[in-house]
Amino acid sequence: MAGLANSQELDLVIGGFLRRLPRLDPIIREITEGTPLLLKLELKDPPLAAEIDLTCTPLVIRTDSTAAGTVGMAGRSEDFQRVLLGLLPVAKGINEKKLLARGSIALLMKAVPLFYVVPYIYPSYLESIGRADLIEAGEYPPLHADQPVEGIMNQIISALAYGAGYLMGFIKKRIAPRLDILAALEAMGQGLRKAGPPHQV
Amino acid sequence: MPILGRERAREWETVWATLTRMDSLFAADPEGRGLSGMLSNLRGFLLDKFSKSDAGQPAVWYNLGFNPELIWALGVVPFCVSELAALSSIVGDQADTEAFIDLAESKGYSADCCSADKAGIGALLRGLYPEPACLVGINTPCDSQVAVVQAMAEQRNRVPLFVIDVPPYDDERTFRQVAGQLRELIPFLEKHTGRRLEWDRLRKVCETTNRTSQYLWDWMEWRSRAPTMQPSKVAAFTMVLMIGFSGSRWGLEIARALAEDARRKVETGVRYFQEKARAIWYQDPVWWDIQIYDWMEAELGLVIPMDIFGYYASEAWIDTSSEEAMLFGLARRMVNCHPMSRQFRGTMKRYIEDFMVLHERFQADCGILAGHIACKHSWGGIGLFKEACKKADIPLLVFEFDMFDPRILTYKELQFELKRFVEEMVLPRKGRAKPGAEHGRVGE
Ligand code: SF4
Repeated sequence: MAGLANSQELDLVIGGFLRRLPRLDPIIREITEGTPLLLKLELKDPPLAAEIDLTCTPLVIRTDSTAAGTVGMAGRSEDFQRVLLGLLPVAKGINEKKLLARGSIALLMKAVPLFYVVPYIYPSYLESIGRADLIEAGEYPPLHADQPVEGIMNQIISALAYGAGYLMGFIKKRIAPRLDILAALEAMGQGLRKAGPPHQV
Repeated sequence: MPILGRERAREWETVWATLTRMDSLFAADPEGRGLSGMLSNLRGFLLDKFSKSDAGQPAVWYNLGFNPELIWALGVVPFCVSELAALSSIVGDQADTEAFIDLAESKGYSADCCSADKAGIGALLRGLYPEPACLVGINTPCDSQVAVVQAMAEQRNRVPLFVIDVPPYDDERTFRQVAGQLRELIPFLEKHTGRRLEWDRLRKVCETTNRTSQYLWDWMEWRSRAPTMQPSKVAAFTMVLMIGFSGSRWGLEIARALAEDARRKVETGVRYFQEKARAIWYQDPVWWDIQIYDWMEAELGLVIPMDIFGYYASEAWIDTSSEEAMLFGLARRMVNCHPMSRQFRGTMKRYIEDFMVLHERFQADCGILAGHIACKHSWGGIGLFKEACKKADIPLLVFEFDMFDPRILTYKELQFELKRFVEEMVLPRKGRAKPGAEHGRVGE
């Protein structure tokens, strides 16, 4: 993979992204429905092992653990990078055996939606660390298009979120290119937490 | 996630939510359409059962050696007592299956029983099935069934029980004897469910079973080709079909989805890994994490074209020309085609013969005996089986594990066993026999 030839660099880029996730704790808990799972990621060529530990609050990221995890995903770093970018949908990755899943299917299905959301923030993260060169050109499939919409409230909230996203994108592209999208999401997460009790774990 | 707008027990809701998520995840990818076809029909099956139960239709409980055609024909709702535990492992939360097992053991049920039955008993103890109008028990495929029938009877001691006693033979006389018991079962079911059996309705159910059988035979045919294009993780589904879905349109559709997916994958010819070795998986599949089959394929190049739970014998056809013929056909199918009941009920002869037939027909390089610890009957004959493989010059891996309980042999331990066998035994042997043979099928 261009630019990610060794573990150090992989840790800096993908590891660095994962280490920012605790800032999004409330959002991630909403996405995973407050499920206390430990998602183990095992990348190879070059190697990186990481854990997203949702059994504690706020969530913890570890890149130095040998714990097995309650569920796991393994694959080549290059393929995982494409998952984060939204170029390789999870189902396709599993069917083509580029992603090897492990553990309780129910828990995995709770973790998988994380990968629907990540492609919206990963490219701007790469830009923020000066690695826009890693954003591949390619056909980006419509993310999350296959997910069932549950009720009118979901549609309204999705429309509002779309509007906010559009506004952020507009400002970032036209007015303030260094706008921190992760910070905006973090603020959204804080709002979520303030509005009601977070998922208990 | 409520089912049909109503809150259900957490374990059922977990299965339902997981099925829904899996279906929508895999339906989006063309390679996942076969799997999605199975999942959506599984959802239809559950919805049908819940809506009938909600409408007050009587339920009949049975254990896993029985096939439910007669129950479908009466228009009542069949519940195999191991159903929820199996669904939790395969399309739900494995932790629920383990909790069922632990509950059964903690209440004094023998730890030596099959985990399918212990987990079934745990689900009964938790009261997770609609109350039954009556119970049907059968003593096949093994002694563990006697224990689960006893547990059903103890827990619902006011509910009438009918027991089918299958002799340990596989001849015409045995089929007639079991058919006679099925004839006696009919008035019992009629009396306790308040429904009358219409023979024309049973004929339609049997015809559905026959169409399902045809799809399963087609499916086996597509899977027997080398290289096998459909994933190994669906090789064992005949068993699930026979226990829960036999005679239902959901079973028919699942079999059709399996067969069409296998055909389409052969015709498309696109492969995502290198097939290096083919094994007949004999004994029980790894239900507690079927994703391990993806790992076998991707990391070891090991393919399971067929396993004992997937094998569907040719005696399954039901002659629907008369009442007698239908009952005979149902009996023969249940006794001689139901995976496990076919191989584990009598002597080791059939067990060994079936393995040899599968090994040849599916062009296997080796055998893997995943020795489910509760299958005492097959452990009892392991020496004969090993000897037969040695004579036939077939490399054989034997290990102890439990199909529903990863605490007996863990994921890592299983990976270790398989990796060592394939890399140190099967591949070098293939290489010696035909240099380069381990890569011979790649890209075909
Ligand atoms: S897996 Fe073995 S122990 Fe369990 S029901 Fe089948 S034959 Fe019996």
